[in-house]
Amino acid sequence: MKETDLKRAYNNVLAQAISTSQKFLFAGNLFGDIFVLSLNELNKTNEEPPKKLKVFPQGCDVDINCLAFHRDFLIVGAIGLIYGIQWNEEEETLSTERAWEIKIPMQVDAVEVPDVNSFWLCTETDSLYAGCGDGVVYKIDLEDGRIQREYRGHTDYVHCVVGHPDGRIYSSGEDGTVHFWSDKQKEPTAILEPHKNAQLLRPDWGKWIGAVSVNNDWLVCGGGPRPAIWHLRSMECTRTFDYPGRVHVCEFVDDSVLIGGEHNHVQFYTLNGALQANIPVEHTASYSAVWQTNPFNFMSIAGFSNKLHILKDFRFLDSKIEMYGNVQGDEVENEEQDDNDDDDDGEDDSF
Amino acid sequence: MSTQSALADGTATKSANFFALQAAFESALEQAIAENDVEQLIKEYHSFRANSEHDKRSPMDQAFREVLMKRLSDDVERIGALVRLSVDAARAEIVSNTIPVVLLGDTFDVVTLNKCELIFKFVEDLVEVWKEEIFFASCKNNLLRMCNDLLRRLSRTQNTVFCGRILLFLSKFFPFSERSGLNIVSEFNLDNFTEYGLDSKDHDDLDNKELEDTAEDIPLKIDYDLYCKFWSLQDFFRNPNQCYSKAQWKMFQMHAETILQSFLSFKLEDIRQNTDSNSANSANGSSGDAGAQMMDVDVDDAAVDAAASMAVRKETNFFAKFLTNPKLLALQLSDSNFRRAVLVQFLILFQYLQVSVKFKIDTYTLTSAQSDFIKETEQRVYKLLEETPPNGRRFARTVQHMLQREEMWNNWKNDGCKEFKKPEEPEPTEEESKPSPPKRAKRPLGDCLREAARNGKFYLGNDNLTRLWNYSPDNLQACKSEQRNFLPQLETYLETPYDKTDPAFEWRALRLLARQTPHFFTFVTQPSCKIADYLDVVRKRLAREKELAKQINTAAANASEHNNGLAASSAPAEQEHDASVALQETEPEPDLEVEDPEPVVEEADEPPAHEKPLMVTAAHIEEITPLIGEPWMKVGKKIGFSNDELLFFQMENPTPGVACMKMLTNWISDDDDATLENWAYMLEGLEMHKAADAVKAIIEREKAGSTQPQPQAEAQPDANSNDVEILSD
Repeated sequence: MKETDLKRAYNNVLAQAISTSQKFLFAGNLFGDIFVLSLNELNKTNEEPPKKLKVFPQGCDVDINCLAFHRDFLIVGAIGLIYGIQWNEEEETLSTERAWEIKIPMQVDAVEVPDVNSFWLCTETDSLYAGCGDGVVYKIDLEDGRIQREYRGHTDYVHCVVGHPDGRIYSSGEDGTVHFWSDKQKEPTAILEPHKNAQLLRPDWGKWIGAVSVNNDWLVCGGGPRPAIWHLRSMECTRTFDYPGRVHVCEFVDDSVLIGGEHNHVQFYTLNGALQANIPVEHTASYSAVWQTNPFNFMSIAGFSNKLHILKDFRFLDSKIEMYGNVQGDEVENEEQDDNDDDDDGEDDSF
Repeated sequence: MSTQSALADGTATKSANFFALQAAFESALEQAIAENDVEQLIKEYHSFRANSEHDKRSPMDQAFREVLMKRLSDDVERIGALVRLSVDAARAEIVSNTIPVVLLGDTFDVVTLNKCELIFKFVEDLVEVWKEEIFFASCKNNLLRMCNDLLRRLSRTQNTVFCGRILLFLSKFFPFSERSGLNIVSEFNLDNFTEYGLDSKDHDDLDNKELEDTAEDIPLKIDYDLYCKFWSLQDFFRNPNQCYSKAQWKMFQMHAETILQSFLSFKLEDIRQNTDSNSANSANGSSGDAGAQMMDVDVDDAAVDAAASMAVRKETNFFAKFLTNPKLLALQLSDSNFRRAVLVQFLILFQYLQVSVKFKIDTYTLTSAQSDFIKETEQRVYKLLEETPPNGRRFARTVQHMLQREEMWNNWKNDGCKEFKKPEEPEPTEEESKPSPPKRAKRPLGDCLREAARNGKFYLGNDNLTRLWNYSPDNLQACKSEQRNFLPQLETYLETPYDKTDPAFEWRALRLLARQTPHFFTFVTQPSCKIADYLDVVRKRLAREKELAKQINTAAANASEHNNGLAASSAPAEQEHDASVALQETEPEPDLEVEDPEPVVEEADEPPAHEKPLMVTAAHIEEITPLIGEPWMKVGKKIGFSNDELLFFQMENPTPGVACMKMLTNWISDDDDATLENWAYMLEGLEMHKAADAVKAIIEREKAGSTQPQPQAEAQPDANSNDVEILSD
């Protein structure tokens, strides 16, 4: 019980993924536990509380740094290792065995095992891009698990990789750069250094870029420097956002930009830089946001707290779902009813 | 029977029976309507002299009703005409007083609602008639019944306008403090459930369950998502007394917190802002005196207000009931009208919880924590209302005002619904309590005026005015006083961080410019130039000018300081000389002469050199100190140093000689009276003759030997040493 309390207090969720069927949300934390939430439970809108989560421990030595979902596999990025686990949709269970494993090759001069910091899954080509702690972005073919290509250029570890189906890849890292890659070129096609822009630099927080996101014409990135929106072709910074904290999450969501990080709010901005929604969260820092618009609008924001924050229309906080203490098959949990000064959550006496 | 009626028609001497009368009246009535003249009817009525009043009246009543029945299919106007005729008939006392209302009631009973709405116009038009004494007493109940019947037929959600018209009519018709429509015991409309949830079947069960176990012991259910939280609040608004139960309150508090936070997290944008400001501008431009009122900051406000009220009039959407489909929630939350509705619900609830209501149960009291929460949340709600566009501030103000009114009504109800009276009582009581005013009033006005004039005062007949006018002895002077000058300095005004392109700012700045500097007349020649730019240029110019003036001043000050320094330390002749040199120096600069003419004047008026007070200098002190010797403290006292200070000098310095010197140096540095003459006088007074003589000698020397001070200074040490020798003896 004490362990659960500790875990509840120090639950740090770095990664989330939504299943291909768009019915399940996976959230993995640094304790090596993967929580599975059924999204249909959230959307039924009757007065019963949603069912509890399922948890699938991966072993306490596994830090779940990133997650992706491909076909019926959940892909987990841990330290020096990427592995896939089968997801059984009918029984709603994760297989206990790893279906496959890929080791990240150690560099010759490396001192420590590189961790896998970020995934970007290209479903069109069945390839997975993994940004790793050795400053390399690996392109992995999911057919045979081979490493197809290494994108070398970052001088420090890679925080975030995103891309575009047409072969453009964007990676950001601790070295304060955003590298633009192309499938067809060995060298990066362009390098962006937001910290060189005096408007963006926040000297106290360093130059690292924690998150990057792209759509057809625009790129948004932020980290130590202020989050800002850049035009992809002219490489010009067109708008900065006044997000007050360090940035770990930024995404283009519909017509707006979601920015989260080390701040007690997650914010939505219009592309013009105007604050649209300012959503209070309980995370000390938000590290992950996944969302879908089909079959219904749904977004989950996770971070350093025991709660997933659920948004249903991207403007209002809909509910908060507790993770530890809200797990199926967990009998001893009625006592925590009184300790939460925070409202709601899925817990209920009637259960 | 036919013969009878014929007889009745013919002679009118015999009494006719009911039907005969009715038939006769009906035909007369048709005529009367055609000519729209009640006289005909009256004549007809009186022609049956044989029948008693009572007998004749009910056939006449019946005649009206019959005619109405025949004309029901006619257009609405003709029914109106009939009603008006019946009013006239009732005034002529040929029908019973209730007939007009009975006619209307009959009509409403048989026509469609659409037609009712048209016909109701006559009811509204005749409201003054119904209030007349002859009708009010008899028709009151009929009218009320008629209106209530109508209201019962109407749907509250579909026919809101008509319902409103009826209620408005009732409120106009009944006296202000009529209690019949009042919810005296402060009951809530508990049937007003807001249903929500997706699964309707499932929900019905739930609802029934809820109804069964009544407000007392509804199981506390925790809603898990925004949707349920949001709509569960409606239950508290429906029945505010739930808030007094502890568990319910906790739930309310939690949910309210979430909802308000949601509102706070997603602020609505003012889409109409642009159009608003445009219309405001055009309103400014179009109204003739807008320019004159530009000074008034409220003008913009007023224009916005006007635009706001226009907008409100345009918007006619109204929902009597909330739509609770979950798919709508997101849209609703971003709809400003909806948001306002909910926020106002909060305010209403808070008001109810806070005020004392006569019929509230005694146990229904708030704990201090609760009232703290309410007060704090109320502020937040008002803030949210202000932030909700369009015209949020105005809306919040209005709501606040209305709630204040509501509180007044509540107090009125608590006091047992007293009838309202016009406040005429206070005046007589005041007069009674003060018997003196009439006495004073008897005094002729002329006397008052004369007396006031003799005292140099004003008498204006009104106490307040009189006091105001006598505020200061000379009103015109008072107006001129510094305190009455509210004009800011141009420089400071231009430096203030106003919006520099604000036309009001520009206008004021130009006014100030015209008053205070000549620049106004030099630079306006560029019509293309923006006023803001022009003002900026002026501001820079003024700053530069100020800089220049300062430089000149400091130069002048330096020069004069220079003079003074010399004057203090050297002989008067030299001083004069220096002054003249300074003059010569300054002459090339005409500015300075104008700026600072005093030195010249002073020089001219100055008394001759020997009459000018000779100041004590350091050299003199050095010369005299040894002559004073031990009793230097006496001198100090005479000069005016306090004991402490003297003690200080003594402590600080080893020998009396040095202490004395320090003290005297101190004296000459801050006392203007430190002249040689004074000093000599002082010393004489203290009977220090030697020292006094020495000082006198110095005076002589200064006066005589001003031409060559140098040698004298050289000669002094000798004298000093002599004196010291003498003293030491």
